[in-house]
Amino acid sequence: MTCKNKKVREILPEYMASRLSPERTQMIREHLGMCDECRQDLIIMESLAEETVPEPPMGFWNSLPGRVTSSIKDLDQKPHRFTIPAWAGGFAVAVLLILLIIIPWKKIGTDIRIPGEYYAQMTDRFGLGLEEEILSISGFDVAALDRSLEEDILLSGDLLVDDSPGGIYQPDIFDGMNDLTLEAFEKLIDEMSPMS
Amino acid sequence: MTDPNKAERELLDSARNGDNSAYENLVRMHQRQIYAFLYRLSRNVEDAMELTQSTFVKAWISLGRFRGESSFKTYLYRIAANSWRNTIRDRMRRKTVDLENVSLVSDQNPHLDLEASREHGLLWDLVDRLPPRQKEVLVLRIREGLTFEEVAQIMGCTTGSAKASYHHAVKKLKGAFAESET
Repeated sequence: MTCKNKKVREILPEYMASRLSPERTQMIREHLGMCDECRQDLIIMESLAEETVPEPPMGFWNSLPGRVTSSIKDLDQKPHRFTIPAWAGGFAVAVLLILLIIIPWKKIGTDIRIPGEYYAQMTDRFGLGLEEEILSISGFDVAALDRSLEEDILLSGDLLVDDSPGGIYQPDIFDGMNDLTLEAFEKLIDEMSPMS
Repeated sequence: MTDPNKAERELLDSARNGDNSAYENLVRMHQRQIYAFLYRLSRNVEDAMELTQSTFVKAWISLGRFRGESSFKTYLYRIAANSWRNTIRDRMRRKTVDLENVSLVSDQNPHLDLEASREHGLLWDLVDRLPPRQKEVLVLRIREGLTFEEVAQIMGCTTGSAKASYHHAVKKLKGAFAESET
Protein backbone atom coordinates (compact mmCIF):
# COMPACT_ATOMS: atom_id res chain seq x y z
CA MET A 1 0.00 0.00 0.00
CA THR A 2 1.29 3.44 -0.85
CA CYS A 3 1.06 6.05 1.89
CA LYS A 4 -0.55 9.25 0.70
CA ASN A 5 0.58 11.23 3.73
CA LYS A 6 3.54 13.01 2.19
CA LYS A 7 3.67 15.51 5.03
CA VAL A 8 4.54 12.79 7.54
CA ARG A 9 7.26 11.41 5.29
CA GLU A 10 8.72 14.87 4.83
CA ILE A 11 9.11 15.49 8.57
CA LEU A 12 10.47 12.07 9.47
CA PRO A 13 14.05 13.46 9.68
CA GLU A 14 12.87 15.95 12.34
CA TYR A 15 11.03 13.15 14.16
CA MET A 16 14.18 11.06 14.08
CA ALA A 17 16.23 13.96 15.47
CA SER A 18 13.59 14.69 18.16
CA ARG A 19 13.07 18.20 16.88
CA LEU A 20 9.27 18.09 16.74
CA SER A 21 6.77 19.34 19.29
CA PRO A 22 5.29 16.68 21.64
CA GLU A 23 1.97 16.87 19.76
CA ARG A 24 3.52 16.28 16.39
CA THR A 25 5.76 13.56 17.76
CA GLN A 26 2.69 11.74 19.04
CA MET A 27 0.93 12.16 15.71
CA ILE A 28 3.89 10.67 13.82
CA ARG A 29 4.15 7.82 16.31
CA GLU A 30 0.52 6.92 15.75
CA HIS A 31 0.94 7.10 11.99
CA LEU A 32 3.99 4.85 12.08
CA GLY A 33 2.03 2.30 14.06
CA MET A 34 -0.26 1.73 11.10
CA CYS A 35 1.87 2.61 8.04
CA ASP A 36 4.44 0.07 6.84
CA GLU A 37 5.74 2.37 4.15
CA CYS A 38 6.61 5.22 6.51
CA ARG A 39 8.17 2.75 8.94
CA GLN A 40 10.40 1.56 6.14
CA ASP A 41 11.28 5.17 5.31
CA LEU A 42 12.25 5.68 8.93
CA ILE A 43 14.45 2.57 8.97
CA ILE A 44 16.26 3.84 5.88
CA MET A 45 16.79 7.25 7.46
CA GLU A 46 18.01 5.81 10.74
CA SER A 47 20.37 3.58 8.86
CA LEU A 48 21.75 6.51 6.88
CA ALA A 49 22.08 8.60 10.02
CA GLU A 50 23.94 5.84 11.88
CA GLU A 51 27.04 5.83 9.79
CA THR A 52 30.00 7.61 11.36
CA VAL A 53 32.35 9.81 9.41
CA PRO A 54 36.01 8.76 9.63
CA GLU A 55 38.34 11.34 11.12
CA PRO A 56 40.94 12.84 8.82
CA PRO A 57 44.63 12.31 9.70
CA MET A 58 45.88 13.94 12.89
CA GLY A 59 46.72 17.59 12.59
CA PHE A 60 44.23 18.21 9.78
CA TRP A 61 41.86 20.33 11.87
CA ASN A 62 44.63 22.44 13.37
CA SER A 63 46.38 23.05 10.09
CA LEU A 64 43.36 23.62 7.85
CA PRO A 65 42.64 27.29 8.76
CA GLY A 66 46.31 28.20 8.19
CA ARG A 67 46.44 26.29 4.90
CA VAL A 68 43.30 28.03 3.69
CA THR A 69 44.65 31.52 4.44
CA SER A 70 48.05 30.72 2.93
CA SER A 71 46.28 29.54 -0.26
CA ILE A 72 44.41 32.83 -0.23
CA LYS A 73 47.69 34.78 0.14
CA ASP A 74 49.16 32.82 -2.76
CA LEU A 75 46.17 33.80 -4.87
CA ASP A 76 46.66 37.46 -3.88
CA GLN A 77 50.34 37.44 -4.76
CA LYS A 78 49.92 35.84 -8.13
CA PRO A 79 49.96 38.46 -10.83
CA HIS A 80 46.79 38.61 -12.86
CA ARG A 81 48.05 37.11 -16.05
CA PHE A 82 46.38 37.47 -19.35
CA THR A 83 45.10 34.01 -20.08
CA ILE A 84 44.72 32.89 -23.63
CA PRO A 85 41.34 31.24 -24.14
CA ALA A 86 41.34 27.65 -25.37
CA TRP A 87 39.68 28.53 -28.69
CA ALA A 88 42.34 31.13 -29.58
CA GLY A 89 44.75 28.55 -31.03
CA GLY A 90 42.18 27.15 -33.43
CA PHE A 91 41.08 30.65 -34.40
CA ALA A 92 44.67 31.70 -35.17
CA VAL A 93 45.21 28.64 -37.36
CA ALA A 94 41.96 29.33 -39.23
CA VAL A 95 42.95 32.96 -39.85
CA LEU A 96 46.38 31.87 -41.07
CA LEU A 97 44.86 29.38 -43.50
CA ILE A 98 42.45 31.98 -44.83
CA LEU A 99 45.32 34.42 -45.36
CA LEU A 100 47.37 31.76 -47.12
CA ILE A 101 44.48 31.18 -49.51
CA ILE A 102 43.71 34.86 -50.12
CA ILE A 103 47.19 36.41 -50.41
CA PRO A 104 48.40 34.58 -53.56
CA TRP A 105 45.30 35.80 -55.42
CA LYS A 106 45.58 39.38 -54.27
CA LYS A 107 47.52 41.52 -56.72
CA ILE A 108 49.73 44.24 -55.40
CA GLY A 109 48.93 47.57 -56.97
CA THR A 110 46.04 48.64 -59.14
CA ASP A 111 44.23 46.20 -61.35
CA ILE A 112 43.29 47.68 -64.65
CA ARG A 113 40.29 45.87 -66.05
CA ILE A 114 39.02 46.48 -69.52
CA PRO A 115 35.99 44.80 -71.08
CA GLY A 116 37.15 42.37 -73.79
CA GLU A 117 34.90 43.83 -76.49
CA TYR A 118 36.14 47.35 -75.91
CA TYR A 119 39.73 46.14 -75.95
CA ALA A 120 39.16 44.56 -79.36
CA GLN A 121 37.60 47.73 -80.75
CA MET A 122 40.46 49.85 -79.52
CA THR A 123 43.19 47.65 -80.94
CA ASP A 124 41.38 47.35 -84.28
CA ARG A 125 40.69 51.03 -84.69
CA PHE A 126 43.88 52.60 -83.44
CA GLY A 127 46.41 49.82 -83.62
CA LEU A 128 47.73 50.91 -80.29
CA GLY A 129 50.32 49.01 -78.39
CA LEU A 130 48.75 47.09 -75.64
CA GLU A 131 50.33 49.00 -72.81
CA GLU A 132 49.50 52.35 -74.33
CA GLU A 133 45.97 51.30 -74.99
CA ILE A 134 45.44 50.23 -71.43
CA LEU A 135 46.76 53.45 -70.04
CA SER A 136 44.86 55.50 -72.58
CA ILE A 137 41.59 53.94 -71.59
CA SER A 138 42.44 54.62 -68.00
CA GLY A 139 42.71 58.34 -68.77
CA PHE A 140 46.47 58.76 -68.64
CA ASP A 141 48.64 60.86 -70.89
CA VAL A 142 50.08 57.98 -72.89
CA ALA A 143 52.55 60.06 -74.85
CA ALA A 144 54.07 61.46 -71.68
CA LEU A 145 54.23 58.05 -70.16
CA ASP A 146 55.90 56.65 -73.22
CA ARG A 147 58.57 59.25 -73.07
CA SER A 148 59.25 58.64 -69.41
CA LEU A 149 59.18 54.93 -69.58
CA GLU A 150 61.19 54.53 -72.71
CA GLU A 151 64.50 54.58 -70.95
CA ASP A 152 63.56 52.90 -67.73
CA ILE A 153 60.79 50.42 -68.27
CA LEU A 154 60.54 47.26 -70.14
CA LEU A 155 57.08 45.87 -70.22
CA SER A 156 57.36 42.28 -71.20
CA GLY A 157 54.47 40.62 -69.44
CA ASP A 158 52.09 38.48 -71.38
CA LEU A 159 48.58 39.81 -71.50
CA LEU A 160 45.73 37.51 -70.72
CA VAL A 161 42.67 38.01 -72.80
CA ASP A 162 39.30 36.64 -71.94
CA ASP A 163 37.35 37.22 -75.13
CA SER A 164 34.16 35.58 -74.09
CA PRO A 165 31.14 37.92 -74.49
CA GLY A 166 31.25 40.42 -71.70
CA GLY A 167 34.48 38.87 -70.48
CA ILE A 168 37.08 40.68 -68.57
CA TYR A 169 40.44 41.58 -69.98
CA GLN A 170 42.97 41.30 -67.23
CA PRO A 171 46.41 42.55 -68.13
CA ASP A 172 49.38 41.54 -66.06
CA ILE A 173 51.39 44.52 -67.11
CA PHE A 174 53.19 44.81 -63.81
CA ASP A 175 54.42 41.23 -63.78
CA GLY A 176 57.12 41.72 -66.41
CA MET A 177 58.31 45.07 -65.19
CA ASN A 178 62.00 45.40 -64.45
CA ASP A 179 64.50 48.17 -63.71
CA LEU A 180 61.83 50.14 -61.93
CA THR A 181 60.12 49.50 -58.67
CA LEU A 182 56.39 49.29 -58.50
CA GLU A 183 56.29 52.35 -56.22
CA ALA A 184 58.15 54.46 -58.76
CA PHE A 185 55.86 53.34 -61.52
CA GLU A 186 52.75 54.16 -59.52
CA LYS A 187 54.20 57.56 -58.63
CA LEU A 188 54.81 58.27 -62.26
CA ILE A 189 51.28 57.31 -63.20
CA ASP A 190 49.94 59.52 -60.44
CA GLU A 191 51.85 62.51 -61.75
CA MET A 192 50.51 62.03 -65.25
CA SER A 193 47.00 61.26 -64.30
CA PRO A 194 44.46 63.90 -65.43
CA MET A 195 42.89 63.65 -61.97
CA SER A 196 46.07 64.74 -60.16
CA MET B 1 25.91 35.36 26.58
CA THR B 2 27.33 36.21 23.17
CA ASP B 3 25.00 35.73 20.22
CA PRO B 4 26.78 33.21 17.93
CA ASN B 5 25.21 34.74 14.83
CA LYS B 6 26.42 38.18 15.86
CA ALA B 7 29.91 36.83 16.49
CA GLU B 8 29.85 35.19 13.06
CA ARG B 9 28.69 38.40 11.40
CA GLU B 10 31.51 40.32 13.05
CA LEU B 11 34.03 37.76 11.89
CA LEU B 12 32.60 37.97 8.38
CA ASP B 13 32.89 41.77 8.37
CA SER B 14 36.51 41.57 9.54
CA ALA B 15 37.28 38.88 6.95
CA ARG B 16 35.79 41.02 4.20
CA ASN B 17 38.14 43.80 5.30
CA GLY B 18 41.10 41.49 4.82
CA ASP B 19 41.50 40.13 8.35
CA ASN B 20 42.92 36.65 7.78
CA SER B 21 42.75 35.61 11.42
CA ALA B 22 39.00 36.37 11.43
CA TYR B 23 38.59 34.12 8.42
CA GLU B 24 40.65 31.40 10.11
CA ASN B 25 38.19 31.54 13.01
CA LEU B 26 35.29 31.11 10.59
CA VAL B 27 37.05 28.09 9.07
CA ARG B 28 37.49 26.60 12.57
CA MET B 29 33.80 27.11 13.30
CA HIS B 30 32.58 25.25 10.19
CA GLN B 31 35.36 22.92 9.07
CA ARG B 32 34.06 19.75 10.74
CA GLN B 33 30.55 20.16 9.37
CA ILE B 34 31.76 20.84 5.85
CA TYR B 35 34.21 17.95 5.97
CA ALA B 36 31.49 15.54 7.22
CA PHE B 37 29.12 16.73 4.49
CA LEU B 38 31.76 16.26 1.81
CA TYR B 39 32.73 12.87 3.17
CA ARG B 40 29.10 11.72 3.00
CA LEU B 41 28.93 12.85 -0.60
CA SER B 42 32.31 11.61 -1.73
CA ARG B 43 32.73 8.64 0.65
CA ASN B 44 36.46 9.21 0.51
CA VAL B 45 38.58 10.85 3.24
CA GLU B 46 41.19 12.25 0.84
CA ASP B 47 38.56 13.77 -1.44
CA ALA B 48 36.69 15.19 1.54
CA MET B 49 39.86 16.82 2.91
CA GLU B 50 40.80 18.33 -0.44
CA LEU B 51 37.28 19.53 -1.16
CA THR B 52 36.97 21.03 2.33
CA GLN B 53 40.05 23.17 1.80
CA SER B 54 38.98 24.26 -1.68
CA THR B 55 35.48 25.06 -0.37
CA PHE B 56 36.90 27.55 2.16
CA VAL B 57 39.24 29.08 -0.41
CA LYS B 58 36.37 29.51 -2.91
CA ALA B 59 34.15 30.89 -0.16
CA TRP B 60 36.77 33.52 0.60
CA ILE B 61 37.16 34.44 -3.08
CA SER B 62 33.45 35.16 -3.45
CA LEU B 63 32.96 36.55 0.05
CA GLY B 64 32.27 39.98 -1.45
CA ARG B 65 29.20 38.55 -3.17
CA PHE B 66 27.85 36.95 0.01
CA ARG B 67 25.18 39.40 1.16
CA GLY B 68 24.07 37.49 4.24
CA GLU B 69 20.61 36.67 2.90
CA SER B 70 21.23 33.06 3.89
CA SER B 71 23.42 31.83 6.73
CA PHE B 72 27.15 31.48 6.21
CA LYS B 73 26.74 27.75 6.82
CA THR B 74 24.23 27.48 3.94
CA TYR B 75 26.60 29.49 1.75
CA LEU B 76 29.43 27.06 2.57
CA TYR B 77 27.24 24.02 1.92
CA ARG B 78 26.33 25.43 -1.46
CA ILE B 79 29.96 25.94 -2.46
CA ALA B 80 30.87 22.49 -1.11
CA ALA B 81 28.04 20.81 -3.05
CA ASN B 82 29.07 22.60 -6.25
CA SER B 83 32.70 21.60 -5.75
CA TRP B 84 31.73 17.98 -5.26
CA ARG B 85 29.42 18.04 -8.28
CA ASN B 86 32.20 19.51 -10.43
CA THR B 87 34.63 16.86 -9.23
CA ILE B 88 32.34 13.94 -10.00
CA ARG B 89 31.36 15.50 -13.32
CA ASP B 90 35.03 15.65 -14.31
CA ARG B 91 35.55 12.06 -13.21
CA MET B 92 32.44 10.77 -14.91
CA ARG B 93 33.37 12.59 -18.09
CA ARG B 94 36.60 10.69 -18.09
CA LYS B 95 34.79 7.42 -17.44
CA THR B 96 31.90 8.32 -19.81
CA VAL B 97 29.25 6.85 -17.52
CA ASP B 98 25.75 8.27 -17.50
CA LEU B 99 25.05 9.16 -13.88
CA GLU B 100 21.30 9.35 -14.32
CA ASN B 101 20.99 5.84 -15.66
CA VAL B 102 23.09 3.81 -13.29
CA SER B 103 21.28 0.92 -11.66
CA LEU B 104 20.63 1.16 -7.95
CA VAL B 105 21.13 -2.52 -7.27
CA SER B 106 24.68 -3.76 -7.33
CA ASP B 107 25.26 -6.83 -9.46
CA GLN B 108 27.62 -8.05 -6.78
CA ASN B 109 24.90 -7.94 -4.10
CA PRO B 110 21.78 -9.43 -5.68
CA HIS B 111 20.36 -10.63 -2.36
CA LEU B 112 20.83 -7.45 -0.46
CA ASP B 113 18.29 -6.93 2.30
CA LEU B 114 17.65 -4.05 4.61
CA GLU B 115 19.08 -5.61 7.77
CA ALA B 116 22.23 -6.72 5.99
CA SER B 117 22.66 -3.31 4.48
CA ARG B 118 22.33 -1.72 7.89
CA GLU B 119 24.95 -4.03 9.34
CA HIS B 120 27.46 -3.62 6.60
CA GLY B 121 26.82 -0.04 5.69
CA LEU B 122 25.73 -1.14 2.24
CA LEU B 123 22.87 1.30 2.26
CA TRP B 124 25.39 4.03 1.54
CA ASP B 125 26.60 2.06 -1.43
CA LEU B 126 23.08 2.31 -2.79
CA VAL B 127 22.99 6.02 -1.99
CA ASP B 128 26.22 6.39 -3.94
CA ARG B 129 24.42 5.12 -6.99
CA LEU B 130 21.72 7.73 -6.83
CA PRO B 131 21.90 10.70 -9.20
CA PRO B 132 24.01 13.44 -7.55
CA ARG B 133 21.12 15.78 -6.79
CA GLN B 134 19.07 13.09 -5.09
CA LYS B 135 22.09 12.06 -3.07
CA GLU B 136 22.69 15.67 -2.04
CA VAL B 137 19.10 16.09 -0.88
CA LEU B 138 19.26 12.91 1.21
CA VAL B 139 22.52 13.92 2.85
CA LEU B 140 21.46 17.49 3.51
CA ARG B 141 18.05 16.50 4.79
CA ILE B 142 18.81 13.34 6.78
CA ARG B 143 22.42 13.73 7.84
CA GLU B 144 22.80 17.47 8.07
CA GLY B 145 19.27 17.94 9.36
CA LEU B 146 18.54 20.94 7.15
CA THR B 147 15.04 22.07 6.24
CA PHE B 148 13.75 21.74 2.68
CA GLU B 149 14.02 25.53 2.34
CA GLU B 150 17.70 25.42 3.26
CA VAL B 151 18.26 22.42 0.99
CA ALA B 152 16.64 24.34 -1.88
CA GLN B 153 18.87 27.37 -1.22
CA ILE B 154 21.98 25.19 -1.28
CA MET B 155 20.97 23.35 -4.42
CA GLY B 156 19.77 26.48 -6.18
CA CYS B 157 16.28 25.10 -6.82
CA THR B 158 12.75 25.52 -5.52
CA THR B 159 11.55 23.92 -2.30
CA GLY B 160 9.12 21.83 -4.34
CA SER B 161 11.93 20.55 -6.52
CA ALA B 162 14.01 19.67 -3.44
CA LYS B 163 11.05 17.77 -1.98
CA ALA B 164 10.50 15.94 -5.26
CA SER B 165 14.18 14.89 -5.40
CA TYR B 166 13.96 13.71 -1.80
CA HIS B 167 10.86 11.58 -2.43
CA HIS B 168 12.40 10.12 -5.59
CA ALA B 169 15.57 9.22 -3.70
CA VAL B 170 13.74 7.49 -0.85
CA LYS B 171 11.50 5.70 -3.32
CA LYS B 172 14.50 4.45 -5.29
CA LEU B 173 16.19 3.14 -2.17
CA LYS B 174 13.04 1.31 -1.12
CA GLY B 175 12.64 -0.03 -4.65
CA ALA B 176 16.16 -1.41 -4.50
CA PHE B 177 15.29 -3.34 -1.33
CA ALA B 178 12.05 -4.65 -2.80
CA GLU B 179 13.94 -5.76 -5.90
CA SER B 180 16.54 -7.54 -3.80
CA GLU B 181 13.86 -9.38 -1.82
CA THR B 182 12.17 -10.89 -4.89
